[in-house]
Amino acid sequence: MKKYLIFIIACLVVCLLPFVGMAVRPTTVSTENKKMAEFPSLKADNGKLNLKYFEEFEEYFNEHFAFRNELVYADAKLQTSIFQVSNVDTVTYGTDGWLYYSSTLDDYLGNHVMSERQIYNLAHNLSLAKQYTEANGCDFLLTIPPNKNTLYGEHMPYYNSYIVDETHNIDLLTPKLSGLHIPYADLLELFRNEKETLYLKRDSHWNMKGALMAYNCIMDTLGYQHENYGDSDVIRTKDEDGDLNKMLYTFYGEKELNYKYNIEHNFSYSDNFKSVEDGWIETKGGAGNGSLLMFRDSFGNTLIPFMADQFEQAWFTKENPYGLESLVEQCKPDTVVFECVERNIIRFINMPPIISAPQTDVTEVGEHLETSTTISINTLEYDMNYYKISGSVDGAYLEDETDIIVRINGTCYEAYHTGENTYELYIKKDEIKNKSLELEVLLKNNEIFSSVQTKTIDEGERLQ
Amino acid sequence: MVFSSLVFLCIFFPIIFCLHSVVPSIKAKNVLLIMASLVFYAFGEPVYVVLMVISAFLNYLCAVLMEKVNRKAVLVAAVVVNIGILSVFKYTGFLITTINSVFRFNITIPKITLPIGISFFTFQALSYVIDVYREQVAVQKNFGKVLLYISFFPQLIAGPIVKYRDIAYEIDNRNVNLKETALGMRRFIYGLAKKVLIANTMAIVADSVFTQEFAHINIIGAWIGAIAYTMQIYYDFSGYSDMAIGLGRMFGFHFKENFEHPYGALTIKEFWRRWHISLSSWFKEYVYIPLGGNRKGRLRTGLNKVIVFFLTGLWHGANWTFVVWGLFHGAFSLFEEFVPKLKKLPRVILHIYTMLVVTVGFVIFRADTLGQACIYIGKMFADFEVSAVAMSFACQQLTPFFIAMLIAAVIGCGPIRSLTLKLRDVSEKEEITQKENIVQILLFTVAFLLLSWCIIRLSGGSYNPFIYFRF
Repeated sequence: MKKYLIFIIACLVVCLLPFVGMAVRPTTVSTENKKMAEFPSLKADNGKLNLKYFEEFEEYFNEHFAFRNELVYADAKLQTSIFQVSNVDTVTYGTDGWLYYSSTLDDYLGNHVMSERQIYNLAHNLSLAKQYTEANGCDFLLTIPPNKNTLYGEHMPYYNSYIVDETHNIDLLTPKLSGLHIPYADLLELFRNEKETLYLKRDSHWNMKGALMAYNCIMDTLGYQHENYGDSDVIRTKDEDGDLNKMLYTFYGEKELNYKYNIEHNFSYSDNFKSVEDGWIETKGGAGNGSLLMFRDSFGNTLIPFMADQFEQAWFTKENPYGLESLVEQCKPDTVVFECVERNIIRFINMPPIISAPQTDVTEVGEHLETSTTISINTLEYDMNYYKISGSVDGAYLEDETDIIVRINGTCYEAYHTGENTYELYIKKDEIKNKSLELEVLLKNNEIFSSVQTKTIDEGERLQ
Repeated sequence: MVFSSLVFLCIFFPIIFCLHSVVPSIKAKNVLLIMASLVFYAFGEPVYVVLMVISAFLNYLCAVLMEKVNRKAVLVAAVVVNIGILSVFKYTGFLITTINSVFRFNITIPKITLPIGISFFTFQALSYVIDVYREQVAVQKNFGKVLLYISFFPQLIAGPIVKYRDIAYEIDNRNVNLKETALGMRRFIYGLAKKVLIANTMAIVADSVFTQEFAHINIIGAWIGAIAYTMQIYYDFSGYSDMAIGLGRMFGFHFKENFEHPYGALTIKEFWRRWHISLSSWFKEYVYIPLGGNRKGRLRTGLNKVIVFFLTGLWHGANWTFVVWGLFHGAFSLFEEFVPKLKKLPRVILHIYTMLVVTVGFVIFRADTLGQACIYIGKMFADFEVSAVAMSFACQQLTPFFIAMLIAAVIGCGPIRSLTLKLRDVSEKEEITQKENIVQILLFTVAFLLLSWCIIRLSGGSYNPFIYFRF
């Protein structure tokens, strides 16, 4: 009987511990980047009985039970040590303790290699952004931090190593950018030529030495004089708790070595600065002249101190899509930098920067074709000040490098290419004076223009 | 609420179990279990809990009325009401969709949420009323006891479909000792481990394959998906049945076995004697035998079987895939009936035949449409293309954890049957040898470790779907 009793009590203790433990040690912090659930109320917002009470209670309990972080760590440790797999969808557990961000898998395997047309579309959209910034007197630069497994894929696990296509979209894009004269800091080439591993083992980003090299590459490509910090004191300390490390092992993952530069920065952050993770950061007092507007992602976290130190004033934003026109009008920067990690470059097709479409000259329209091209107009969902004119072009008339142009009441505008054969362009609402819009979609192939659709849209339709 | 959730494991179960242990009288224990069961159901269905109580009350009323008015009329009314409720909530959309597509109508499909476990509690309720009609059980005058029978949380939402006569005595008379509790808890934990460790791991791969574009699947990927789903559904459902049986035992109820290693069967007929036994026996007792069973000639027996398999398929879901799955099994059952020589084939051939039918059957069961099922089965038997995309996708499924759990699943569903049966017998013995005692302690230790591992696995909110929840 004794063994039965011991077994029953042991099981009950294990079951009750996460609940009873909440009295003394509830979980109040999480490494998951989200707001933790609050204890539900029996009353719903409308004053009636909250029918989701149980559901919300379960959600609350699942996030707040005692020792949650320790148990999640234990699960990760068991799964990685015994079975060599991650217990978190977002993290891929590689060999020798290497961790990768799972969202980069398709790029790594070559599952979605872009077509010639898509690559052209991507470069074309960037060229419109560049055209806009340069027309406003700013220097423009694009830089694309490579995915970790593009550079160091040898540690990917066997089950994620059956490569479909060795080609990386970033490799296809590079010559196209050069063809369209888009200033580009080629970090892929920079890191590929380095023997030293410049990304962290348990983080999805580069280490500080990699960040410094990226910064120098960006400034060199811009052609600006800058401090290269080549003679700075540097040490290596084992205190880096990588993003993937935290996702997988919560607060208890093993820390790793990173470079630490002993640099005295001149710039200062604005008062509301919390951390380099902030969506909007302003700095002042850098050593150089001029100002910088940088659209960046998490790779920018380590670039900010270096970049901010070279500009009198700098603005760093994580917004998506890029509100390019409004920020250029607001900040009036001298330099605009786009920094976007390899896995997200598709955004330049799906969510191109918001600018008024650049005007263009159309010499002579050759053919007027009967096609199934569509045209529609709506308010832009990301910025109510703009109309979005969009549609799809009959694919039969598109070649790899066909440009799409939309004539609005006689003025021609270059459109973004948003898919294989779709297009969109933005026009500020206050720029459209006429009640009725005469729209015409034109295609430009080797300097020859053809008209593929026309449509008249009245004010009522526009307001819908 | 599902058994494999932390809110059940860490709050609901230990609290109800402790209260049940300290409450002195059987009456109070029953009240506690009714209240607990209603909360358990309301956790997932805060509104439909009322429907479940109404359903229980109507069946209670019908049984009581049988003593006072025309028995047959009351039975017919009870069957119509039960099947009516089930049809409205489960089959309305299916029926209208079918009518729309056959007659090219455009009838709007009402949005009716399927109450959790409606097929289970409806069938339990029906079995009670029919048994009363047949005078196999006495009418229960106390509504609370009928409600407890129908709503008892261990078997409420995913079975097994318990018959009233099997637990009628235990509602009023039950004793729970330490051994019963420990063995019940151990059974519960083994079921939990089957669900959390094996079924959930299989589910990730099965879902990944079945939702993948067909261009990314070749023969290898298709078989990985089909095997993963075949294992998922068995470990998911049999795990849940183990948990229900274990919990029942901890509260003093003894439910019959619902699975007896079905994947070890040598024929489809044998498979159905071992798979979801409570459902097959329900259909046998309340449909097949009343239709005439095998007493009216070979042809009529065949027809009766087809009807039962059709209904079995339909019971599983409002989709033609389920119906075709049922008829697919029915066809092979008839084939075995009409080709008795089949049974003389070597065991290994018979086993391969049965598992092939079962696996292909579950592809039909899992597919969203019959078209998808056909293409998928085509991939399993005829897509030999070794494209990089398909090979890469297949390779991605074969993680070390999946392989380890698949090996455990294969071993667990067949080869160790005799060992588990032997261990089960040893556990039940009153007097055990020292050697058997060591084995028992080892089994309890393994169960404790498995429980800890399951709680650890669930703590991060890992993938945890329940297949039979939908039925």
